[in-house]
Amino acid sequence: MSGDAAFGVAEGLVGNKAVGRLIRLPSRSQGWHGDPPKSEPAFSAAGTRQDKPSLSVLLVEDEPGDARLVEFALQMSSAPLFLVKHVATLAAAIAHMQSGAEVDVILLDLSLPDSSGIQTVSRMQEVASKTPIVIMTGMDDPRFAATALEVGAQDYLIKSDDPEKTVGRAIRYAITRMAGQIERQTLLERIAEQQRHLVKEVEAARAMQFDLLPRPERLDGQLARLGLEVESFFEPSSGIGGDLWGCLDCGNGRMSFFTYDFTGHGIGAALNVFRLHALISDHWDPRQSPSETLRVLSAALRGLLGRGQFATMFLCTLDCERGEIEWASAGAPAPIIMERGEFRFLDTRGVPLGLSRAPNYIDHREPFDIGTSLLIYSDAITDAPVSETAMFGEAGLSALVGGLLAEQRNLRVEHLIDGLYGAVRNPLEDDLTAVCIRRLPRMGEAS
Amino acid sequence: MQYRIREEGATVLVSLDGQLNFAANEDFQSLLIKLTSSKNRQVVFDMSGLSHIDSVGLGLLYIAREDLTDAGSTICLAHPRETVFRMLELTEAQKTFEIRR
Repeated sequence: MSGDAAFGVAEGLVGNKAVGRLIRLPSRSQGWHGDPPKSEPAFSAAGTRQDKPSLSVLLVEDEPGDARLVEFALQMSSAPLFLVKHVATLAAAIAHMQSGAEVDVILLDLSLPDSSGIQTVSRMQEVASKTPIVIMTGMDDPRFAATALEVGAQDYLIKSDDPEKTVGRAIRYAITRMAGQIERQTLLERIAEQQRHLVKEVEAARAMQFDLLPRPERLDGQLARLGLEVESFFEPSSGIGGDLWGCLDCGNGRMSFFTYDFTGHGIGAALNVFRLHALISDHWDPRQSPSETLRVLSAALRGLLGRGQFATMFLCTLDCERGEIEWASAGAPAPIIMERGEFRFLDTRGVPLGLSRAPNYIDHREPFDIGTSLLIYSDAITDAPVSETAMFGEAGLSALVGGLLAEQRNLRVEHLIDGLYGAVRNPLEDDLTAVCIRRLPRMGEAS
Repeated sequence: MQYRIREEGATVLVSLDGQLNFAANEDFQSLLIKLTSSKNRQVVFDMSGLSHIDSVGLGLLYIAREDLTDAGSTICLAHPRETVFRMLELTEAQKTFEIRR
């Protein structure tokens, strides 16, 4: 009975009975931020130095009088207590740092017996890159001080200033500045690390997407039997993208080819690419006409896609026995059919996949003789900008294909891409696919 | 993309300018919030100022239709330029939208 009572306060009850339901526990992280920050940030140690009860000062000064003045000024302070180690040469200072002694701040005279000027600072930094440095300089060389700050010192003192007032303050400022510098550095390193991580992730996803593409080693046997040459270009704009092309063997001398393109690009579009690829594998039936296949895919996608998302798709079947092409399209860019130096666009009107509840697609059929080729492409070509306001468009593509066919009998995708890149603004902002399928004479057949 | 809204009785005339694409997403969503705040209107999108529409932009029009229908309003696409009309024609948008040339 006590168990029932406990259930009674829970949600998901109708009357007194528990009903089946899905419980989704809320996420415990605030989205994804790459690697979790390291629990011990590198700058925390430097940041707390200022609050220590005593600070170790390395005083590098060859003038005994100046050194005494500074030491005296530091002795006046009790909070923090300054523990001063005095050396007279840069070599001794470097040796002290290399001995592993704890040093919170370095007071550095620029003119030493064994070093002078800016190089005193840089040589000191080589052995103490994370220790704040305060330059001590005479009244006559203030420009050295400014340069010293540029090369990385944290503060400077002019020797004739009253050291009692200025030394302690300069030391604390220098420590705070150094902590800030180290913090920035650490953040930059962390951002760079996250970026490297992200690039690796995208590269892995990109490799997976390229794995979806047809591969010569699997396809060449079938294509040789059918007398088909396929030339393809596939280039996602941001690592991974929203289009794909593929082909499916239908048997009896027939082969299907498709291209599809999702709204948007990048990771979201790429995830949809994988969805549709899986749906095609599930729903593919070589006995189905292209229009039926599109209808089935559209219905399957409709329930899965987010608002405003859809895919355009072109699907055709080449029948190499009968010399025919059959195709249907869901609003894909119009492919170009090329025959004896002439070319024209196919009718590809159709509602994109996933947009309409009950879409109707139309099958088109026409001869596809030996020597005929078909160019299928994504709208990255026609939508490529040629200026601030103008697109390459079907007109640009028409002119390019016409020009290439006038030069050579057959269109090479390579030349098409060269021509496109030469005419439009690079880099392209959309995922680019171009596939050209050419019917060759089969063994023993006349062209 | 920029837009201007003008109301004439039950008709709301929305003039769209520039490009309806991914970059227009946020502006378009705020436009939709305004348009769906009043019910049972005839919303006419004047597209004569629109130089280009891409697939994201087309998706936005479908979202607009969904939201406006929910608000009891109708949607009409008016005066698209040739390039924009080509995209609407290619994707058979006239099966879903009233398109006035």
